[in-house]
Amino acid sequence: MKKVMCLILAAVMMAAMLAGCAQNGGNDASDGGSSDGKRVLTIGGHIRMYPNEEEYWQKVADDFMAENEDVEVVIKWNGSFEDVVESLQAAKMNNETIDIYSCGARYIRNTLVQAGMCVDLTELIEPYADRWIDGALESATLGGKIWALPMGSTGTVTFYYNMAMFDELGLEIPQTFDELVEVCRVIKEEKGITPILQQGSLAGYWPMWFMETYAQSSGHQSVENVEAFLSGDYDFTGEAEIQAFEMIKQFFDEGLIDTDSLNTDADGMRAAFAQGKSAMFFGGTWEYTNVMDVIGDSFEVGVFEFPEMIEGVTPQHGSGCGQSIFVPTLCNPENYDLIMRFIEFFTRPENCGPIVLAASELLPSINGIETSGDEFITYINSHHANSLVTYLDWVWPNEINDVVASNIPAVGAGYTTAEDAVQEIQSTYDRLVEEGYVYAWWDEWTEEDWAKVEPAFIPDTYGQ
Amino acid sequence: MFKQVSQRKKRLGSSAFPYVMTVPALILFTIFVIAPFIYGFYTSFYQWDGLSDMKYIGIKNYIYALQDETFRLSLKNTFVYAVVVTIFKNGIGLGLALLIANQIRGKAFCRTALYMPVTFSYVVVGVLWTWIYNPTFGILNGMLEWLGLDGLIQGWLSDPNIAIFSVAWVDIWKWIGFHMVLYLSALQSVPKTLYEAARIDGANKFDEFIHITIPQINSIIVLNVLLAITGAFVNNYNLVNVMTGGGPFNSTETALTYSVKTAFSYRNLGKANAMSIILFAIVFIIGFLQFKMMTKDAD
Repeated sequence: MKKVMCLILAAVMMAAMLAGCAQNGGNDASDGGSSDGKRVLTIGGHIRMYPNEEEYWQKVADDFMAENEDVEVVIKWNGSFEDVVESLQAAKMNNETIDIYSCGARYIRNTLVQAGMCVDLTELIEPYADRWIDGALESATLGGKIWALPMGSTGTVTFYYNMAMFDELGLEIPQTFDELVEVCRVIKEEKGITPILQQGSLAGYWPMWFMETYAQSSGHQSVENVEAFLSGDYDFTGEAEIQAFEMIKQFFDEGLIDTDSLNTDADGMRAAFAQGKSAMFFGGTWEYTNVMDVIGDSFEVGVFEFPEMIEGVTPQHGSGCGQSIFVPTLCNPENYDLIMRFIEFFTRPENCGPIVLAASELLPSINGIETSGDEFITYINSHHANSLVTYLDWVWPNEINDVVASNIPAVGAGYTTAEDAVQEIQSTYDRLVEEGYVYAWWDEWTEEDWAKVEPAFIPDTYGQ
Repeated sequence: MFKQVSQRKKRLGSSAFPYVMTVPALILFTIFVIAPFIYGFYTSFYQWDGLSDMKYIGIKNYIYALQDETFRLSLKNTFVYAVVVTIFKNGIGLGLALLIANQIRGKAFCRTALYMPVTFSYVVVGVLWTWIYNPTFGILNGMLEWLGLDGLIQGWLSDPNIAIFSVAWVDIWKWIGFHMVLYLSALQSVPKTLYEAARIDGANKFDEFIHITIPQINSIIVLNVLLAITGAFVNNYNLVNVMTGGGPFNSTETALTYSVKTAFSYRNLGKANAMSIILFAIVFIIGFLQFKMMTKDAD
């Protein structure tokens, strides 16, 4: 009897396990089919990161449904910001339907477009292209086609500094590298602290330094040079590239920054800055809110541009609109009219405004969104905004980015030379090409590849 | 006749019963271990980013992996890590077991305290030690400074020459309690009479350790070394990822962290799977050789 019971239990366990592992049979909403006779529009994306952002999205969906009573909008936020590709991979394997997807622009540019996951939006968006600020849609263009719609604020990089400490020591905002050296000398003498402490254990932050120095050493040709390099038309071991690394080394050689930064993460950097154990750090404008949360009312925080390293060459800053939406090739092909109806509704400034501003108020990608006029925003918009170039890590592949990221502190701390660093970048590129990397993938695509990303039809009207 | 058939059926039923009972576990093992392994092996012959169509390229991914300098460096780092971790986990674990095996005060407390890190997750342990090693706030450098040992102050995770050892130490610290408990149980099972006989024959403590303790606990040593070495090869991802992310300058990049990076950051799943298969082959061979060598006498 006991054995029979055991066998029954084993059988039940197996059945339960197999049921648990079985593929989701799907429901009307996720399959893109109708639910209660309504047409379903499915919106996906990573879990929202900013305060109230999820509620703002839900409000847009509710307002859209109120305006279109025949439609049900289903929103699914899944995974973290970094998990976008894996989430879409899982959705594809599970045959899920997603009509619109919201995620970081870098993932779209670097991975999703060439993997054939994005629908070509060039023709679809044409009637409403003027809703975006100048240059915004260009940043989502590859091979002459528009693949995504920037729906966020534009981030850039800047030096943050402790205003109270600067005032106490009578320091002025430095414009050139020599002035920054002098500022740091005073801080070290008077306070006995490392002037600049970075979140250097996060390797991904180092290339931002290179983007600044390379913009100057290349005479404002950084993006063009990198594109030529990735196309095989430019050698990355030249004078401009070596000089860009050597400029960063100057920061270490002059004692502005030291190897402590290599062992410091974001929390450590912010804590040191908040406690006055460092006076400055170089970071993204997207960090402002988090930095202010840590500092509170302790002191005022100021920002200044990366200094001029070469006399007469003005700084240029890496930049890009962080968030975008795109139409995945996983969409319901019968839904193009609905998708575009939603996009038209969504890109009205009054509808997308709160979502765009939830991240930051810097240069919203949509025309007509009003910002609050915060001092920090005003400063960045008036100083940095005139000299922005595309983040290089949006142009080069992750392998190259990682080599740059690991070599910057290595050169700075003297573990390798600038010449060896650029040589390693070049040899990494050569290896990638041997392994099948193609920068201008759009030139290699077959008609069949293009057919997969063409919209099934162009709606006559977007239902405005 | 009927009785014979019935008895045979009963015997068959009895012998099949244990196999039937293992079926649920076998199904789970097949679904979550065997099937992914086979699929991983299969995809290692394809160029695949996980999203677009797979393209067959034969053994090229294996060639690309072995030509990749960072992968070769990561294999070297993995070996260094595994050797250091295996030696210290077992050395310290056995040493502590020998101490605790004697009747000392606070034995239960020591055993519990030393075992406690085993129960912590790698992420918690990694974050904890990252802060201990922190050059600005960390208590390690602070303590060295307080003791006047300024010369010993290091960039524990920022110096590429010592970062791998700093991470390895955390792994050792987490697991010595586990190895200590295994050794302790083995030591307690060694018959006391053997030591008494040895003492009568004039053996000192060292002789007893070499000629009685070691041979008597050999099976546990084999198990401990096998667990430590395979664990160090295939269970270092979380710790390295949390503490250094493979840096500085790839000095703590291990085969696991690099293959995960290749798969999910570089979107080269075929090459990443080839790396994993290479790592599996290495661990299999090392584990097999170690097991054979250490059980030679027993055979």
